[in-house]
Amino acid sequence: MTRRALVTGGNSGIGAAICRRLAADGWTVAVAGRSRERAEAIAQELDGIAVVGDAADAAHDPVADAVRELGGLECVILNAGVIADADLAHTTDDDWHRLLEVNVLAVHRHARAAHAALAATGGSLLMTSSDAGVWGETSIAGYSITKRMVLALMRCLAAEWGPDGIRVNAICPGDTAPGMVTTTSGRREPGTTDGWLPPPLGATVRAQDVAGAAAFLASEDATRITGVGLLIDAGMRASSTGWQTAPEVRR
Amino acid sequence: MTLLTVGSDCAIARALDDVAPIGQLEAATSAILAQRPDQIAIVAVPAPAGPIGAMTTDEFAKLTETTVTLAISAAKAAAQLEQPVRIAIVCPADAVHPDHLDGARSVIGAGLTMLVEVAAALPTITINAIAVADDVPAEEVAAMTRFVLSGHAPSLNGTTIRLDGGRDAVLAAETRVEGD
Repeated sequence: MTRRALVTGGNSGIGAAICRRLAADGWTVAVAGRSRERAEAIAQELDGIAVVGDAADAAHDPVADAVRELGGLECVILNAGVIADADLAHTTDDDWHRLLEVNVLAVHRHARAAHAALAATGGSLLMTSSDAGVWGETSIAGYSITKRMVLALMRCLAAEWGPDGIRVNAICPGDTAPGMVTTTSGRREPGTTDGWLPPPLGATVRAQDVAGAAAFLASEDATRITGVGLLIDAGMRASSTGWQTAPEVRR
Repeated sequence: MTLLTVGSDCAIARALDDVAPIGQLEAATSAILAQRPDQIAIVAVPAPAGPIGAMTTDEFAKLTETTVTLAISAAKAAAQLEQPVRIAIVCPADAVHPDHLDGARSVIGAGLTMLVEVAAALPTITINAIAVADDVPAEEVAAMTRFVLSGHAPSLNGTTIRLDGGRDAVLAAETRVEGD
C-alpha cells in the first residue's frame, strides 16, 4: 500500500525538497503551503495533492484536509516556519508573536490534529526545528527560542504518544540552500550563500540533504527511533569554532 | 540596588520580595522602564499542567504568554535602560530535561533556557536561569536567585543552573534502584 504524507511548508525550500524526496521514495504527498500556485504546481509535479492555507490561521487544518483527500496518513511533517532577523532587543512584539504562532503554536495544534490519524496507522510525526534550537544564535534570537521549544515539544510528544505507536522526531537543519535563508522574502541575504560561514565539511547543507534525513526518519528503517532531534549542519554545531576547521579556511 | 520581581505570584516570588510580583506584560515593561532596577527576578513557574498533547493550543498559548513572552518583554525593557542590569529567570526544572508528564512546563522552560542564551550577548545585560524542582523550598530558590543577581560571580552569564537536589543528574532514581 502506498504510504501517505503531509508536509506543511511544502511549497518551497526544505519543504519542497522533502516532498520531492518522499514522492521519489513512493509516498503520496499532500503539499501544504500558503501559496496556492506553488503548492498546486509541486503537487501536480509529484502526482500528489495541494492543501492551501496559512499555518498561523487557527482555522486552517491541513491534517483534516489531507486525511479527507488521501484517506489517512502514515507521516506528518510539520515544517512550516518563519524567521525574524533580530537580536532580542530588536525583536518586535509583532515579530515574536508571529514566530510563536507559526513555529510553536501551529506545530502544537497540527500535531494534536494528527494524533488520531497517526495512531490509526502507526505513523510518525516529524517537526522541523533548527540548529539554532540546539545552539542559539544572537542574531535570530526569537527564532532560536521557538526552535528550542519545538525540540522540547517533540521530546514530550515522543514519550506521551509512544504507547500509541506514534514516533515523533525532529530535524535540525543548519544553513541550507535552498532553505529558509534563501527563500524567505525580506531577509538581508540576496538569495545566495555568499558570506555564509563554511562548516567543517566545507560544503553548505543542501535542501536535498535535509530531505534525505527526513525521509530516513519517516521510513521503516527508523522504526525504533523516536524523541530524536537530528542535526543536519555539516558539523557547524560540533564545536564553537567549527567553521574555522573548514577546508577553505585551513587553506 | 533595586530589585524588581515580575512573573508568577507564588511562594518563590514572595520569598524574594514582599511586594506582589508584576504579572502582566505591559505593566511589567512599564515598571522596569519607570523604576530602572539593576536587578530583575523573573519568576516563571506555573503550576503543573500535565501532558502537552492533552492540552489545547489555546491553553498552551496562555501559559506561554505569562511565562516566555513575559520574560522576553522584561528582558527587552531591561535592555532599553542602557545601564547594567542583572536578570535571573526562575523556571521549572523540566526546562533542562523535559518531562512528558509535565509537558507544557517543559516546553516553556526550554524556551526560557534559550532566552537566557540568546540574551546573554546583549551589552548591558547579565542573565541566567535557575531551573527549580517543585520540592525545593522557596527560601532556597530565593537565596540562589539573590546570589545570581548579586554580581559575586560576574562571569556567570547565559547559563541555566539546576536547583533540584541532583534529581536530573541521571535519568531517574527508579533506574538506579532497578539497576541495583
